[in-house]
Amino acid sequence: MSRWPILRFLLSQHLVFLTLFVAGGCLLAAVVTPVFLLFTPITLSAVDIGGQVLFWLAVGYGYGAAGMLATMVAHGRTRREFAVQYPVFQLVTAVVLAALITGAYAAEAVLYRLAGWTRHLQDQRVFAAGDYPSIFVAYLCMLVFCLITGAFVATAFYRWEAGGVLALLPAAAVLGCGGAATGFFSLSFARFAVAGPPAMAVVTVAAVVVGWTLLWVSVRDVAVRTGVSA
Amino acid sequence: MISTSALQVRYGDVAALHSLDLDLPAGRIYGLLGRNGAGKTTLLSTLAGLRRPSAGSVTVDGAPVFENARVTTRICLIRDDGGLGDGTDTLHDILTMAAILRPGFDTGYAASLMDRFALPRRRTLRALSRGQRSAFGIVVGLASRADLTMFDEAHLGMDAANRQVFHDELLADYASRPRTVILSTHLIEEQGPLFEQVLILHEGRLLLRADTDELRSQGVAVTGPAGLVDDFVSGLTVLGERRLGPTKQVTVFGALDERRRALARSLQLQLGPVALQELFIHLTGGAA
Repeated sequence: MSRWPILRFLLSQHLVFLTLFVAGGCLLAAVVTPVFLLFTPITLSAVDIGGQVLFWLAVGYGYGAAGMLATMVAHGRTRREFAVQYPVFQLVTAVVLAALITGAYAAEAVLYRLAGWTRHLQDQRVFAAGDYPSIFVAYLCMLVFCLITGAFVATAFYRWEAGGVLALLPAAAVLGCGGAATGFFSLSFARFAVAGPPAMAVVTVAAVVVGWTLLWVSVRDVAVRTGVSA
Repeated sequence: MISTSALQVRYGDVAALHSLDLDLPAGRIYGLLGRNGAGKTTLLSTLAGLRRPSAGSVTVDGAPVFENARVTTRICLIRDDGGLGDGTDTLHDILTMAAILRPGFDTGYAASLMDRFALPRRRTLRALSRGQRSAFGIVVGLASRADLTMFDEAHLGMDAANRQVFHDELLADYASRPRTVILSTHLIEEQGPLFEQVLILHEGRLLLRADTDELRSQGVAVTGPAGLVDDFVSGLTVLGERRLGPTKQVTVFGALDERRRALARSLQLQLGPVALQELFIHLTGGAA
């Protein structure tokens, strides 16, 4: 029997799509940014602003986990396989997309320098414009905890229907803490000082442990909906 | 061998299956019949590992089904509500997915079935008509070449010609690669000829299990002049009747003894097999 079939499928299909999607977004930013020059001087990083969207896109994409689980089980795979392989896919996806975005920051720096534009990042960022290792780690951490959060919320609603609303509490905690640690989701009452990539990674690992545990609790023996009452 | 032992499935306070004991030898085509709410979909989804039994067990060749990838990859359940992929997936993508996820998936056979049903590979699942979605489910179900293949009302929305293609392909593939097939259907007369054995579920219990020929012998269709037929069936359990001019056909439940058969011959009444559907309706409580 082939090993890791769910992971192989997701990497060969979904990761390719997500990479092209994000790369397309970066290219779009490169094309659209000069248009803004007609109206205002450019002082902010377009990639930095666009990258903000990834936070919620990652949560939304993670939310597709429930449908993915049902499809995988319908095709003969088990919930246990899903609970192991889907998070690995999320991790690999986060690494690839974080690398892509980091590359986009670097390419943008060259472009802005050549054009003579100033380039600032948003105030809440925890990394400097040229600190690429920190940019990579921040995006990696953000993508990881956003994807897993979307996944456990989706599977909780799939399993418990309206009762899944309880999953929003840990989800809010994960997104609030993780967002504050990585600088992508900064609430005034949930700010705390985090010093550098190691601390970001620690917060993210804790968030992922919580998220994976809740994902497992939701999926371990969930019934696939079949048109009769669940 | 597919076995259930004291299988129960409950939805809250409602019991969908009551302590079901079943042993289905491999390599046969079973017809699973039952009225709406009888528990057919629940039984099939439990056999496929889509849900955990509330009590009891389901095994295939002695191994438990639920969360056992060695078994579930040998089982394919095609449901009337789809579930094969996301609505935004193209058929090509779903076939690719099935080929990765299912060890026995036959890509070449799937391609030939796609052509037979004239299904557009680049169209998304959502964009298909109801009948096309059903046909696509059948493509995946047959091409999965699973040891246990189940179709739960998988023909819904398909036109008569495509249903015939389904029957032809099912029989041809079954003949070349024998496996266990369970067909759950309300098209009893149309799909009846496919069944080797019939299982009738009623209110979550196994009401009857019989070879199809044996089941048909549990009733007789009596045809002849209306008056003679009425006299002949007097005192018997009548399942249904039809009339065309002076000729009448009455279906009765129960086998006729030799005395009645001799009487029928003397009256020149024709005796024939009973329709499965009429027996089914009678056995499950009659028409409302």
